Amino acid sequence: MIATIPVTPARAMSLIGRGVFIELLRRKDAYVLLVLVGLHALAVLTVSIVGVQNPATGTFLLNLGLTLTHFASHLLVMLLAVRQIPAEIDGRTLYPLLAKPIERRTFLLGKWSACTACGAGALLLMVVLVWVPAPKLEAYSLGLLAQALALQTVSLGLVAAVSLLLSLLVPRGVALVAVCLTVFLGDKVASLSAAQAADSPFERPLRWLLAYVPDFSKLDLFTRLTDGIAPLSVAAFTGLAAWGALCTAAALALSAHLFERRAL
Amino acid sequence: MPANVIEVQDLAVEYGRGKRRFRAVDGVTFRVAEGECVGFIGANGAGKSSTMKAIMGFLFPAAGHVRVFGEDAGTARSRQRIGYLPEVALYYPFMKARELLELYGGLSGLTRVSLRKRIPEILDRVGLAGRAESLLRDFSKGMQQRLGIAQALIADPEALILDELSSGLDPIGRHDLRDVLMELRRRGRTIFFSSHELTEVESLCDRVIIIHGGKIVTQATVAELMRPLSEIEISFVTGNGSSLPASLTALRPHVADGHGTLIVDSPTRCAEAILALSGAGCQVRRTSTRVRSLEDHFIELVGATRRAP
Repeated sequence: MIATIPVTPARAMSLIGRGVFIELLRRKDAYVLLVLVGLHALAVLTVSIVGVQNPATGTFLLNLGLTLTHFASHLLVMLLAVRQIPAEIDGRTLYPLLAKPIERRTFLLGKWSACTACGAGALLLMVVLVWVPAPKLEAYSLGLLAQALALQTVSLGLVAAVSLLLSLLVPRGVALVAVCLTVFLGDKVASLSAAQAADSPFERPLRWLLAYVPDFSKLDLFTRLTDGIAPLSVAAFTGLAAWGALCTAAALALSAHLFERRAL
Repeated sequence: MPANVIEVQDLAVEYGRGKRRFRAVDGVTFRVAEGECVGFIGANGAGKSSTMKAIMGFLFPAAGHVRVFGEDAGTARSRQRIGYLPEVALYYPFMKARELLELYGGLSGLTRVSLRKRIPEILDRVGLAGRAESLLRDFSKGMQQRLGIAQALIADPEALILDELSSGLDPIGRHDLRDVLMELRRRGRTIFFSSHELTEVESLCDRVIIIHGGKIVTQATVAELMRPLSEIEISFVTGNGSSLPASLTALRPHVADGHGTLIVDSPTRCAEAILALSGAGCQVRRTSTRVRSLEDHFIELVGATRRAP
């Protein structure tokens, strides 16, 4: 008999997460996004060498790079998270995995944490790629940069949780489109539809529904950073981080509830 | 009396909803005791995989209950001492064999140190020595199946649940697998497996459970199943102008060109038939025992169930 040790949820999550990292490293989508950001960095570097005189141009280039970073890291997490469970079910790789002594919610949390960590790692790498070559003719708050990075990470965690949840409810293509719309256009679609429905019988149910759709734009401080606005107060920052964490926990709890009751 | 490893009581598994509801497993009850090797056989769609999935907790019973090592099926504790091979074994194409076994071994509680020793050992045991660093996308179906067996055995579990264990394996692979299972049997491991290779079931199992249409048709030891299947064939030469007595014609002998054969089902009847043949002037040339295979029995049983209204 081979000696074994108890498998703690943390150990199980790290083992499952390792699988996601290996997948990310051996598939092409992450490299496509990285090459895109790299090309931007190269262009900015070229412009910087030629020389930028106007501070507004420098700020524009930095804002463009950070926005690209925001899109690329969020898209990466969506692509990664939305396929995790459907691919395991379709590929029948889930059976030998769940035949091991782990709970389904541990499996789900392992996938979520790995997707979030992959996104956060990619975000950090891309921010460095964008920040370093950018001409900085204006002063930017490093405190706000730290806040922005922290909230971006919270946002990536929320994206991963929502993607996993939707992938359990609808086909993965539909889930991907729905998460994309929610993350990138959610605030605009919400305010537009609320304005359209004003004074109509749909106003109340629509407002009720929109209250459950997380507003990801609240967690994006990159434009605030490049606009030179002061960092958030501790209370405002903590409030936003807590709101993001709460939404993530709710999405994960619902995913775990659905996944544990699912016949495989 | 050995403890029960698997207890299935009045299990029912259903698929679909409303009018499309379909009962794949209906009132199945059986037990697998510690150290037993039990074969679970049935035609395609008989309910074997659904029963096995319910044992592993992948499907939830519509009725009845399943316990594994005394724990409710589906809990992590119930899977602690089990190795499972799914019906179709597919593994992450982007991983290497070593990485895959590190994942499954780690989840089974093996430490890094023991994995370093165990992985080459188990790959060698299933005939994949030297393939630890190969990507799984380059593995053939048979190699994937061997790897599936390796992942099921990685933590040397006390019980094995193997669904369609020889699927995709060539004759050499089947032979190697039989050796592995024989060794596990000798070491007192509990094995519960389904297979369409009935000769394999016959040679490996203590007991056989036959399922058809979601219901258990029979469950008995291999010896019990084979006993009534022994037949004795008597070859004889008919005497000039002699006719067979009524007691022998009732056995429907086959006679052509003065040579005949008849089949009896016990040594006593064989002795009676030989006496009767001698009395009728026939010369008995040879008697041979024909043991019908489990496959013959299975086809007869399932065929009878299919024909039944």
